[in-house]
Amino acid sequence: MRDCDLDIAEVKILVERGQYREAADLHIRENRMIDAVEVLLKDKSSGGAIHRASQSLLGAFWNILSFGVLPLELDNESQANLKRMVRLVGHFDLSALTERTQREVGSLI
Amino acid sequence: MFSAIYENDIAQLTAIGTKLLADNKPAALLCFDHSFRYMNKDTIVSGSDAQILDRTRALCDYAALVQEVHSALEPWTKEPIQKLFSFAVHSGGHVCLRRGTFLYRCFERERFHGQKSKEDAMVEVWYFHRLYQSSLRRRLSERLGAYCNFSLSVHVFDPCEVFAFRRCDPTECQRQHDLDRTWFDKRLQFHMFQISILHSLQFCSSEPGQHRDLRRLDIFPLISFLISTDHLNEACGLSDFTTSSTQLTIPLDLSRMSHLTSIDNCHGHLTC
Repeated sequence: MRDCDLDIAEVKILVERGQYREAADLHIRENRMIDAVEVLLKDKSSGGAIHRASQSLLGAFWNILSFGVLPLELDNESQANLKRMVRLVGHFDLSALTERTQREVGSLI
Repeated sequence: MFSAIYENDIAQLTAIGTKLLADNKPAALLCFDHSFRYMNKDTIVSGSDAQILDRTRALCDYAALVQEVHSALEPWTKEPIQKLFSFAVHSGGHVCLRRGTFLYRCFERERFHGQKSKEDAMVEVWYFHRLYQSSLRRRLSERLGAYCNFSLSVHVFDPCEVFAFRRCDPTECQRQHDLDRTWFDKRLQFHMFQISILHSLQFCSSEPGQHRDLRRLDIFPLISFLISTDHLNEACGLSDFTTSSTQLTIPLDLSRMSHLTSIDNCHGHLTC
């Protein structure tokens, strides 16, 4: 618990400094993919961040909505995560991605 | 795709699935599986002839994808399959089935007879492979079985005989009044899809005796033979075919279809 608190505090500091990539790395290391996507979406300066955010979000979607899993059958935690992820889809500026990735991500999310 | 799954947008899922068929088969399979998630009479037999054909074509594509994924060699080693079913391979020949996933639920049903477990399951590769294949076959069988049960209620491709005597009100009648070449092709296409579905049902039958009443038809040469309008013209002029409310008789030269074991076996299930 204490480690987690320290971890979150470190993420906050990194975000305040504009070190979004490092902050996202910390989230990903702890398997907090949706938090990582949120941080990466704050980084408006680089297309790489959007690309990484889209891949992380897709990975999270595949984890939750894999074959044969219905949204209504998910447990409460997964349902809450799914809602967050669907909300995040609306925040994506796909124009920052290459045409091919735009097509791929656009049809999957 | 994931937004459409979340919103249960069936039309969108079918469209995306069709679009992804060429270059992202796992995603296409996910789309189709969701688009047929509540397969029932209303979702399959309502709509125009074009809509029913689209839906049936999508079901055939779905069946083909399931068979392809089912037949993959060492599926546990394939990354797209790992992603699709959300399982992980661990060292020492074990596969980790994540709680809540499709394969985990099948495992739970088999091992614990439906009782819920709170932990991920670690299974050996041989067991995983058997579970994977039998679960996919069952899944496909359920979907196709539902379709077969209801497809006989489809009447939009049937000719309206009463219309010939000017006793039919075309505004209320669902049967076809313009018995032209377009209608003929659509009806033929629909029946070919039905035969393809029967063919897939054969694949699903894991135990001898299941679907025993359906004999295997080597249908693909038949489809390519029949769908081609050139061959149709060659084989039978449009003026040569006769119809009745339950049967469409095409005066084809059956000696040219020696690969067929028997077409009569379909009649219990299809109105060929």
